[in-house]
Amino acid sequence: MAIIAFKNVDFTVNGVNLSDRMNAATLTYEVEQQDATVMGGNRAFVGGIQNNTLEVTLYQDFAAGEVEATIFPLVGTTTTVTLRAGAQATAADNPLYTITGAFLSSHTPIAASDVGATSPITLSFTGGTLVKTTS
Amino acid sequence: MMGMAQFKVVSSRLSGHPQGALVTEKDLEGANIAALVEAGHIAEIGSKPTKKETKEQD
Repeated sequence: MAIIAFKNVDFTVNGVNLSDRMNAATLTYEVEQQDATVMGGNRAFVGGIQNNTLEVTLYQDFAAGEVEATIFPLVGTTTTVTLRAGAQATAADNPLYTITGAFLSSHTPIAASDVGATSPITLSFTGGTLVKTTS
Repeated sequence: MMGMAQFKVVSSRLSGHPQGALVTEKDLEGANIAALVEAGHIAEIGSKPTKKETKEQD
């Protein structure tokens, strides 16, 4: 296995592939720790519920069927998001991560901080159930 | 029982479904279909009523 430089991460939201508008993605798979410490023992934990987060940065595009049209109707709803290290087929060395029931609470349609600059937006999908597929 | 709605894929961004393809709600399981319609990725082409529904409407 080789060290990976992410160059072509594959991202879909609600079944729509927006990989060519994305420039960063961070998927955090978390199972909350719950205290299970008992008298006479040391601090101990058991796994609680999943608390997943997927943050993606996209370049805004207001054209029909592009970023804004796809994202705006999803605010306040749950959907399915997927992330894969490369665009090639899912495999053990290119696993597909799928979160079903991911909630999008907010969206910043315009984030123009500098005159003449591109307008990247950051989305945070939270919650849901994460499944890793390798074939 | 409602007939299953059919949709035509009108954008080139729908993963696994080429532009022009016909899909059903089942094909889009897990997706927010209303959002896909609003975004212009799919367009409803009508639902086919069942025989029972047709009789009820008569």
